[in-house]
Amino acid sequence: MTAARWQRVKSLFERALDQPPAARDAFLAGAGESPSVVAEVRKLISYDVARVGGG
Amino acid sequence: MPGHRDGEITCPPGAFRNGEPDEVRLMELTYRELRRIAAAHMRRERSARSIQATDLVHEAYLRLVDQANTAWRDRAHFLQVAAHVMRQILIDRARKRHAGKRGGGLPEISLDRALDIGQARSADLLVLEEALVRLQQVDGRQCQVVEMRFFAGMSEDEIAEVLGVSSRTVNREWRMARAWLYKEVYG
Repeated sequence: MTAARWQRVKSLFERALDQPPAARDAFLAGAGESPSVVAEVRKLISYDVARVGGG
Repeated sequence: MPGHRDGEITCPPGAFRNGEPDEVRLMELTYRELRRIAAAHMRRERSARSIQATDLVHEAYLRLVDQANTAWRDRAHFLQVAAHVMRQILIDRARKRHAGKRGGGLPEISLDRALDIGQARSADLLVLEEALVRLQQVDGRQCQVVEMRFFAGMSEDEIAEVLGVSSRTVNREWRMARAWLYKEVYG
């Protein structure tokens, strides 16, 4: 993981958390990020949701 | 001040003044802070684990007193170092317990229950530590948040005070670090 990629993942993850859970999918799809960054953020969110519940 | 409500921290005035704190005072302060961290663990965990927390405090105390030459800039600096020392102790112990028998199975650590680590399988802790070293390389602050929250059992408010950021920022950093560590460990 390069520092630049980390920052992209982190930024997208944090912005996704600001969305209501139901809106996150659409937000990520339309965020204009690369598919691999989006996939990683989806994975992170799944672990976050598993821990804190829906939001 | 947040985190000082229970009155256990009575930070001696001037203990961290720019110059060198006097040694006795520093030791008292060190011990008191560590006791407080242990107390936080004990509130969360019951019975048997509190013994481990006390034991951990004693070892952390010895290591920190050993670093008495360190000029603590302030309480925040001290707590950051203390959290790092606790991480080192727990990982060192896991390495010793685990010497020579590596691998196998997925970790069963809950990152939300600090000092689960006292009971976690040593292999699990070592896998976590490897991921944490990688995290440190890309995001030093998140690694610090993990040290303070997970290894030292500090609250998000306390960490926010130490790092000089908002509690919300700490919460965000923690959630990202936790999710990322789970991903690294479980795939």
